[in-house]
Amino acid sequence: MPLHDLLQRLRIALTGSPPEDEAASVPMVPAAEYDASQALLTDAQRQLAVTEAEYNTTRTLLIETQRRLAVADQRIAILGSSNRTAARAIRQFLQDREQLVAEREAVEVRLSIAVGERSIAIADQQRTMILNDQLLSTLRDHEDARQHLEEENQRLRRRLTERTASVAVEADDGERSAAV
Amino acid sequence: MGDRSVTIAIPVHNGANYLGEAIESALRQRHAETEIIVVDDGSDDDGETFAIASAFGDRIRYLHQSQSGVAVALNTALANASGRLFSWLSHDDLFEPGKTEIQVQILEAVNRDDVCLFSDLSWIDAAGRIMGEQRLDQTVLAHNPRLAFYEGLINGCTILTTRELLLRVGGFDARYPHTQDYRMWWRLAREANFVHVPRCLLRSRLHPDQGSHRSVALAENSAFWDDVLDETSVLEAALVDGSRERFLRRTGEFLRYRSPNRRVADRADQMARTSAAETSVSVVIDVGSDAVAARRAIASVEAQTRRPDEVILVGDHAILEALGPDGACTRRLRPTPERRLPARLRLGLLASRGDYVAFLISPDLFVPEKIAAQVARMSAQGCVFSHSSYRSGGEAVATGSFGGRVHPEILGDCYIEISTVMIQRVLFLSGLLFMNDDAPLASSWIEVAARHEVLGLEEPLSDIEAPWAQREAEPLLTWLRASAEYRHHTAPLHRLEMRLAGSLPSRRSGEGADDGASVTAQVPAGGTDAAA
Repeated sequence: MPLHDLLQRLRIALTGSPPEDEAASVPMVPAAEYDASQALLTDAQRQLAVTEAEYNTTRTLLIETQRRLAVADQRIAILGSSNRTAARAIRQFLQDREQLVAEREAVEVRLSIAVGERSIAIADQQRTMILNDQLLSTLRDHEDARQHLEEENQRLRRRLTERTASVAVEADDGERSAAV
Repeated sequence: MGDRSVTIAIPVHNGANYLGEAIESALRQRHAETEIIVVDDGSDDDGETFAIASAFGDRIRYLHQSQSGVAVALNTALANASGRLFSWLSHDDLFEPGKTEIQVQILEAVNRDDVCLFSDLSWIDAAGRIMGEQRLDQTVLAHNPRLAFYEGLINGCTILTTRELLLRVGGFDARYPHTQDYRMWWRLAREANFVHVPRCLLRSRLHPDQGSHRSVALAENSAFWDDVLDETSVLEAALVDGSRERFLRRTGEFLRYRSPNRRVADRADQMARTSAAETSVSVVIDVGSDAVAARRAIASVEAQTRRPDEVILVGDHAILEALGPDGACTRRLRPTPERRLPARLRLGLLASRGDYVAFLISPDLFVPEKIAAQVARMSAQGCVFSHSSYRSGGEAVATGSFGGRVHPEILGDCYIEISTVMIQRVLFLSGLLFMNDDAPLASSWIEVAARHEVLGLEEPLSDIEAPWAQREAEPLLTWLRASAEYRHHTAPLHRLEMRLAGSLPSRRSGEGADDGASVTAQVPAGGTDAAA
């Protein structure tokens, strides 16, 4: 029976003019009606209890849900804050990384310059050695030519001296012969 | 355009496959003053290459020529470039965005107009995926600048140099369509300076359509390396690898395992086997004051199993005249009134022509196999300075065990005898020997040992009447104490002092090596007496 009808019957039952009990000044209710209304009342009380239990359960659930929502909101707030922190950290990390990359490039450039200058110095020295070798070769050729000429001169001088001496000897011989 | 202006030349023939990407990589260069010249070398692909280039509008310059080869295309770019600096990008390769900027910074800092920068690179496949990297050892290249060329390590698309330098060395040789770059680097290695940048600044694409894979290119490549083998002088080879023999062996190895030139590799190996026998040898003989002793000394040289190409006789004019200009070996006479031995030896060196030079001070003698043995070992190991054990007073003196990196131990224990020494000509040209007429001979050995490995031969190869090392100990100590470079080596100097004071026994065989001296008898690289 619907609760509303039940309550209505209960109200009629309760607000009717039942005959009064002369002893208890309590309105007299026919026994069947009384049993019915008692049954209704019990039923209603039972349903009320059920309803109250449901209400309490629902209320408890609501409170729990509200609590969970509050926790979730809190967590979202924390996560949101963490995300912002993380995003900042990532941005900072990327900036630091860019700076490190730029510094690394600068260091590599400086290292290349230093090593390059050393390499250039060695290459210059090697080229100088090769040029010196060519120059020395020319000098040696000149020196050999000079020595050769000097030896030739000496040889010619010796021959000239010998010839002059032999001419002088021949002249002496001629004079002696003429004298004789 | 200004001093920092760069021209990137992109020669292309039927290169529609990758040209667009190459141009984009050039346009992405961070360096502001960059011009890009695309030289179309007679593409006949129904205008596809032209269409790709045209799509870039006035962001690039497009030049067209009838098909003449990469060399002519590069020369066209050189002639038309407005940038002071020049670089080259193959149509199928890519520049890293920072390539030009980084290299311009380095060139500016170095501030020389004869520098050519080159860098590391990464390899990419046909789809542009990175497959690997070529990273070179910058320290090795800094100490041996020509090695990069002789090991084929220079990729032309990594270079940046002045346009003027490339024009000064004659531009790219159009006779060699496939090796014009290698020939250019060869000229630059000799006339300019290659400087390595340790960054991957290029992405070099490997794909089956590459021209370098074709057999005509390979034949030209082989001809190029043939020319390198023939035209690299003994001196240049010694500068790169220590000796011509080592140069030929290393080149053969490179050609065999890192290039397709098997035939030239075999040829290099063959040349290496005979190079020691083919090098020239001079012997500088100080004739001293006794003509008879000098004749014996000269005779020991002329009796060598491997006769030298010449002997240089240095000394008093009268002695030289007595000895005469003729003998079994070519003689060159250098008369001098100079009494100081370093000056006389230097005079002899100036007159010598040999790739290897040995010294002999009369009345010392050579054993018959000295020159053959010593040249063979020096050639095989690429050493520029060697000495040996010797015999004196009938006893063997085991100074030849003293070898390797002997600096600074040599300061306190220098037993090298002049009549056992042989050098390569490159060492004399480096200006380390006999530069001070008043310094002891040992000072020259110390200068050498401070910069090079010393090769010691343990077999006695000379007979020495009166060893110099003992006589020079005191002047050597005086010289060391006065030397700003060596006087702070207190331990070896102290050892020398003690030796002079008689605390240490002399270094003779039979007396053991346990004389308290910490002489390092290191075996030089290449092993012991076995020739390579």
